[in-house]
Amino acid sequence: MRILAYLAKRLVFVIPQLLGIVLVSFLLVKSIPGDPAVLMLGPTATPSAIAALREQLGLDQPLYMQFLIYVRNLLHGDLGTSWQTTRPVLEDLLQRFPATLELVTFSLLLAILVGVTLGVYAARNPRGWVARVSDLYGLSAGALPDFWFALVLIFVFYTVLGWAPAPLGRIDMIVIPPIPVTGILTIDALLAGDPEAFWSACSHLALPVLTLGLLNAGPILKITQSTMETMLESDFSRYEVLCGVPQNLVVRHALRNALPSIVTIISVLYGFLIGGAVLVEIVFSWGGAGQYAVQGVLNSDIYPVLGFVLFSAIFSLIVYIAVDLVYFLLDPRISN
Amino acid sequence: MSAVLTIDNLYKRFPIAGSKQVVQAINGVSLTIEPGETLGLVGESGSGKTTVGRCIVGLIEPTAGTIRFRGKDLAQRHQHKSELGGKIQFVFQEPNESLDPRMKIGDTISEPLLPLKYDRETRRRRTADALRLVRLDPDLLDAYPSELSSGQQQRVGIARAMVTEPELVVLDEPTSALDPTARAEIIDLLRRIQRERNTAYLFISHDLSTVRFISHRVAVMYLGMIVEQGSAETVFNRPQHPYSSGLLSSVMLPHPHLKIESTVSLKGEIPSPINLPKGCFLASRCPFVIDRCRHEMPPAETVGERHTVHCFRHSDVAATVPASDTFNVFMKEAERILGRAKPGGLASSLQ
Repeated sequence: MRILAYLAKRLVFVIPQLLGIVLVSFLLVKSIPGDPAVLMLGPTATPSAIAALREQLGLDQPLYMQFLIYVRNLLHGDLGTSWQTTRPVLEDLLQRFPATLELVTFSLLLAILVGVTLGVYAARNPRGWVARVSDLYGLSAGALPDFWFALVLIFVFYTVLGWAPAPLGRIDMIVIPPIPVTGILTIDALLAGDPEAFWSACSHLALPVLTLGLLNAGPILKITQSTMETMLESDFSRYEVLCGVPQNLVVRHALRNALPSIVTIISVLYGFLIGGAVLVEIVFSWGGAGQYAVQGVLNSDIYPVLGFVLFSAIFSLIVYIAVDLVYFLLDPRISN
Repeated sequence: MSAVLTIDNLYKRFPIAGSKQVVQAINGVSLTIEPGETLGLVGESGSGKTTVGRCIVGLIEPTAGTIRFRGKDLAQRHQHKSELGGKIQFVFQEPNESLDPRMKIGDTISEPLLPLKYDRETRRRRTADALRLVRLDPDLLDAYPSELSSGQQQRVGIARAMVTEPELVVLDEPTSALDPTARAEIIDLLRRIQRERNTAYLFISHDLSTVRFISHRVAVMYLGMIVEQGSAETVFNRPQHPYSSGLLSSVMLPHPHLKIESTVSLKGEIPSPINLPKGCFLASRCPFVIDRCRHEMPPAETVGERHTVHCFRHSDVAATVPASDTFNVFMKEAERILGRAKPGGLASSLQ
């Protein structure tokens, strides 16, 4: 019951939060110099044609009017039209956002697997070789640029070894993509019972997921290691050791106490990666939402940018609410 | 004598990271504890008393010396695992940090039984017994530590230690994180358990009035050495080591009319345990110092029944420092207050 009451309270706050995010991002995007009308019509356009297009686009209206029109359209589910793709932004994003989500989610799962495992083993023996490898790993994962690491992986696994497919999109060109249901290719392929498409999607995911997963395991590893060390040095763990409780159980109890911090860093990374994966998306021609938004920024195509911000914001809010629910499960002190 | 615990010439050196120097935390500690006896281990912070306690339960490996429990060398504690299982227990200073915040009280108390391979029913029964022993409400079995007061948390810490029916419990400042009321309750509880179960305690504390109240014998530690050891009454009333005397004179008894008079005041700061002085460690601070003290470590001298002192001039100290029965008066007063709160003891009447 307490959880439901809490959820209701959180959801009430979502509306003003989203409105605030839209307002701030609208003002920021509008302050980027560059006139879309000029860009759309090209260098040979006459001033009168530009003025006509500006009027048609509503760009001659004062800023607050433009904002109100945008919000009114939003409420009708209209996120505007991208002049680059000439398609409604909502359609574009519904196609591209799942691509990013798939990439980021699988990367994060790999990062959790690597980070938490290494972190726990490093904390179990702070002077052992795993701890030393972890220190080096955490340092290099933080220092390597992801696009560079992606290029190295492409060079090794595609150019030299030939194990990976060409870094061109999410599925082989000769493979027919499954009917979109979720937009997430691996899931759609499974739903369609199409092993060929599933395999192709997985092989295309491998290198970008390795890139993002291995590099983003760094912060998860660091947090896990330091929290686990604190927990294992705490009196309650020491007491278990002196009573002869098996080490695996001691570690499991310590991990249970360390989980809230680990979950926090994972949720922050999840929200961050939606936009932060853009360079890797570009390297692999992923066709994801981040890539779409950056194209929008570069070409004064503001509706894709705003749409992306809105999608990411909603996604982050969902992740944070989910994390709060996880806290409820993890920490009896909150739920009581 | 069939002592529960015998420590013989214990040393502990901690290496300092990135340096060849070591911290000399314990420097030749010897002591014995009899069944059902409380030995109070007192000294300033940094004197090594906690390290001694942790060596006994195996949280720290000693550098040299032997610790025997019922005659068995604890250096081979793994070989005696089945006989030792749960016979030595430990209670931490911070009740809050010593309990797993995510573990229910019932599971916390029964946890020490897990490695002892009892069946579920025995564990449940013993947990209920332990909870009764420390007078906690059975409803609390399903509570989490954060729902308890620190006094209740420390009772859980004691219940968890008592659940394995130990013969010796090392209590590392179990009352210093508590307010005076909770402290009195815990001390009362510990004494009652000792009477019922004949458990021996090593009571580590810097709170001398509490130590006087609970201990049969007292060992005074200074820089990793026990400088004086004897019955609580003798050491508190007629200390023969300048350090014991100085330490006692700094006590503030929790009673408005009781004051301790002493002529011994120690100068300066406690020396660094990294570079220990030659000779007596107290020489630089001692008002009784003679030349010999600076070159030679005074050996342990037996000055009474189970009463030893490391001081060349112990008889001069005893002659100079007036015998005081302030602590006896305090004891009687405290007993009177605790007694008046019966039946059920102070603990239950204050709940």
